[in-house]
Amino acid sequence: MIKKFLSYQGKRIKRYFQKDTKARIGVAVTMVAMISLLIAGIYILTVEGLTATQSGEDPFMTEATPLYIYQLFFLVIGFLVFVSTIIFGLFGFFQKEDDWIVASPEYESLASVKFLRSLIESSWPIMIIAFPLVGAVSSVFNLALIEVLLLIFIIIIFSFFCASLAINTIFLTSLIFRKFSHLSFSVITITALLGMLIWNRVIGVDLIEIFQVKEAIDPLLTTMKDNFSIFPSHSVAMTTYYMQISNIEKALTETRKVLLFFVATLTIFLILKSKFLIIWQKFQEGSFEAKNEREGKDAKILQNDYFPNSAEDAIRKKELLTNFRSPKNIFWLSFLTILMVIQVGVVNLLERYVGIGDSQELATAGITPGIQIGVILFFISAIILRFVFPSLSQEGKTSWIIGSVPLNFGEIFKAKYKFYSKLLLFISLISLLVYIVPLGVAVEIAIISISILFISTMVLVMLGLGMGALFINFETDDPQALSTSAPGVVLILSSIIYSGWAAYVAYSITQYKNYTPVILFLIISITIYKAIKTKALNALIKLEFT
Amino acid sequence: MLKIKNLTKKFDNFTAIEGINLSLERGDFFSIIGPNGSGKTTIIKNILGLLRPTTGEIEVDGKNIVKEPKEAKMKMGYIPDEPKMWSKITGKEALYFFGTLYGMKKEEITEKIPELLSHFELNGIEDKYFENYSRGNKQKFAILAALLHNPDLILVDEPIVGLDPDSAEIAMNLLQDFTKKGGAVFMATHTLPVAEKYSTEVGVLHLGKLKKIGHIQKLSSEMGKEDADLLEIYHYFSKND
Repeated sequence: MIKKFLSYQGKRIKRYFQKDTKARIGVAVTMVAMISLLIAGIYILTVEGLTATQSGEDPFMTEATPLYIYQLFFLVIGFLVFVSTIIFGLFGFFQKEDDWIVASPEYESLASVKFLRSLIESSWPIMIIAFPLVGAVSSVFNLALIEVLLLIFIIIIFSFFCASLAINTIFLTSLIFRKFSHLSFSVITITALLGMLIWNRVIGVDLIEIFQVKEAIDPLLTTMKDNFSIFPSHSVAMTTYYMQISNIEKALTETRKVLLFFVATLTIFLILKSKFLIIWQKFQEGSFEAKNEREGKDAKILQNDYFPNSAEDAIRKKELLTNFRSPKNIFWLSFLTILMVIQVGVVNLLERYVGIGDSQELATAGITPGIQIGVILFFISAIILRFVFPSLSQEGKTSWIIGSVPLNFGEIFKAKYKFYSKLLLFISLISLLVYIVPLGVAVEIAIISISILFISTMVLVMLGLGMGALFINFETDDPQALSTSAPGVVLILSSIIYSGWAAYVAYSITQYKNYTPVILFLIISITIYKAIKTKALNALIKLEFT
Repeated sequence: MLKIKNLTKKFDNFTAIEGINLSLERGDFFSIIGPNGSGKTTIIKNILGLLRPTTGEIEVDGKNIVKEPKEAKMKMGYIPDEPKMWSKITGKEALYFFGTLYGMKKEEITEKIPELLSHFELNGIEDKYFENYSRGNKQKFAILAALLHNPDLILVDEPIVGLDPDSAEIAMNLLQDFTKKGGAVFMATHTLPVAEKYSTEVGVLHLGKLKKIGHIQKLSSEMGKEDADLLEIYHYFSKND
């Protein structure tokens, strides 16, 4: 199966380069260059950080701090793999295009292939984050080749575990949803979110406790282990830590735990696989309930009062209705809301961290506005990649409407821009309030943060929609496939770089009262906005619907 | 109403249609027939502005589709062969959506919807999502959407695919009534008996070239067989110039 899968992927790549070869090679080269830069950046920073921890004799610095770094790294990696797989799983497992396979007696093979694909495709954080970390650990602590290989192996297994956990979550949630179809999706989501909030309050990683006991290394490590042991990433972090202190025996014990986790989730998937058909059927029915065409109404959400007033308004309302009525889209947005909840958790952590002193101090120190803006823009970029970037390409199958009505594609572009920029400004500003309100940030910093976030969000939406227009693809309307195409990857990397810059500008103003970077930021932002808009509109004028 | 002058469309080195000349007046019901891949849909897409002509000119009631696309499109309605619609939009919302895009006021649309729905007895399912409609019902909503804004020209690509016999007859009668009230219909089809029954003129398209245009009786006379049906006409003219 793996051989067939690899052969299929090879052919897919070959097919990709057959059309618009020069442009696509250009995009691929840019993508590789940007990924390489990112990997190099993570590697260099981690090497510097780990080397700095080894400069003294203090076990707090030499052992506890690296362990803390590993815990955070693997927590982030696990989370990214989990979310990526959820997104892939929701859109990849239940595609209507696969109905001819599901109609065959071998429908369970489809689940297996998609499972394998999701394990591989969702493992990108390994390459971008984990490999540079392994390189850095190996370089600073002079690991033997066998140790490096073991570390890579366990990280891959950990990634597979996170991916299979995500797929099992989708399958189990769908089964629960099917069993209790009278429960609305929103009820389940809200319950889950409330549960997470309570969880966040009850079991927060207590940095205060960790750092207050820094005088004694053993209690410190025990406290850290206790705090992180609730996360599956803990064992991978501990493996890395035991490699660092050359305790291979304990490293192998932790490795076995990760293997066991994966075997457990794999077993659960193999059991759940037999339910694939009924879950697939429910997803195809859309409303999770088979109904006679003559019975009842579907349009319970946003009904009746949503009659458009103008052509542009019609496009905006169409975006609103189609996006917010889709359970898959709501599921996706719920996950982003969960990310926001986690961010609340981070703010809580910060409060507790500086609880000894004044929380205002840290909030006005310059670093937190920068971090918060960076984090919010990262989420905004993720939404743009999923919703905004594929938006024009997704009109391919309904091009008979968009193309034949007396409305040029430029107007559609502008209507979509207005819709998404308003929506994302709302989300980004709400996210910022989550940071501003609990910490009681100074008015000056709040205004600076809001301004930078406002400009960045507008530019990122234009970048996403514009790249979607420049690399329009009517061959598929699958947002997952469109988002993971080479232009999609270039978009997310460009967005991350731009977001990082915005975060730096916020930091620079609040920390050093240095306004020079903001002038450059404004000029470049306006230039990007204008250039992308012009290019996109020019491309859309020439667009044909074959 | 519709004037096509020397229309050619090429995709890279492939010529899909070549040198198409055609003229429709109000009241005309024109059917274009031809095998798969002969270029029927390409002609329709060029008229609608979904594709840009490589050479040639298309005018709809004096409005050039390339130079004045909005004005030209305002005069047309389109019924596609695959009425794909956003799955989470209801039939009624789709009609409001179409009406608004063609510059209709909310009140006008509200007034017209019940009348349109009654043609196909769709009342009662207009608030269901498109994803829950059968193929035939999707097609019916597409037909109603094309008629909603009182266009001057309707372009139809395989109008009765997916419709039950009664609905197919209703659909064709609606289009015929439309021509009687001064509209024009340009229809691409493989269903020759339908074309034969409703068309005032037919065109035979083969390998991207319009081989012959004319009334069925005129074409049968030209081929020397007065009682020839459309299938015979189609075979004859697609093979002979």
